[in-house]
Amino acid sequence: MADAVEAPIRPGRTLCFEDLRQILAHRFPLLMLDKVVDFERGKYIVGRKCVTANEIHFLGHFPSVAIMPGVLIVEALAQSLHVLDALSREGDALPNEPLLKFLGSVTMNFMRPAVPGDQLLLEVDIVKQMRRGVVGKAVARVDGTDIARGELTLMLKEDPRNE
Amino acid sequence: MVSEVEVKNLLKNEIANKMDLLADNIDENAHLADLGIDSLQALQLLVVLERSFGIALNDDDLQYFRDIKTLGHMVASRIQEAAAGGVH
Repeated sequence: MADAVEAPIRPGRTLCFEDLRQILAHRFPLLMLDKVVDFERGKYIVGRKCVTANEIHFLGHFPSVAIMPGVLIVEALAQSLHVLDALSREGDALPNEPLLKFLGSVTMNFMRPAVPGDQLLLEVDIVKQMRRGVVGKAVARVDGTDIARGELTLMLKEDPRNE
Repeated sequence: MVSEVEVKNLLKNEIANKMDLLADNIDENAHLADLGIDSLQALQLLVVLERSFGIALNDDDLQYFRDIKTLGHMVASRIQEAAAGGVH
């Protein structure tokens, strides 16, 4: 339970899966965040993603050995930043409708792969929050070991369906 | 103390790297949009400026992201204010 020691669940500063579905527009198979175990508005968030063999991407990545695609680790970190950004803008209330935010840029190093059975701990700190976007420093950990580390930029965009 | 020329050189080098241009060919009066800088790249440039010079910039400062000359002048002023212990 190394992760539980690193990120104790903080009552009042957690979000369950249903809360996340209110904030994020993503749905199966691309909702990559199961729970938020801690956050502080405008500062940091700690999310959790349990990797399971039933996830659809393991059909092809790879047929002979199941490895979580690195882009999906990035996606999980980006969704964590998205949630933190939303919480930091909205005050105490959850947003009425998910905002669309797009990954503008990524700089990420991968140290080791994630496989079924791993529990990803997704830690993101806000570097800069502006009206049109947010920059975050991100790290994904498994059992206390960094597996990916980098920086992400998300941009708020108009919903293309309204254009 | 960092000079305005040094700030402008950093901006030219950053923009050159981002947009695959030659720093020496960048006109400091050219509009950043004409150099290909969009809102995403402006945000990244802003973070680079904060980290490089230890200043804090905000949404209102995006109005200075017109050209390198204007931006360099604003950043150099903020560096001076910060060094003098002023609020920025």
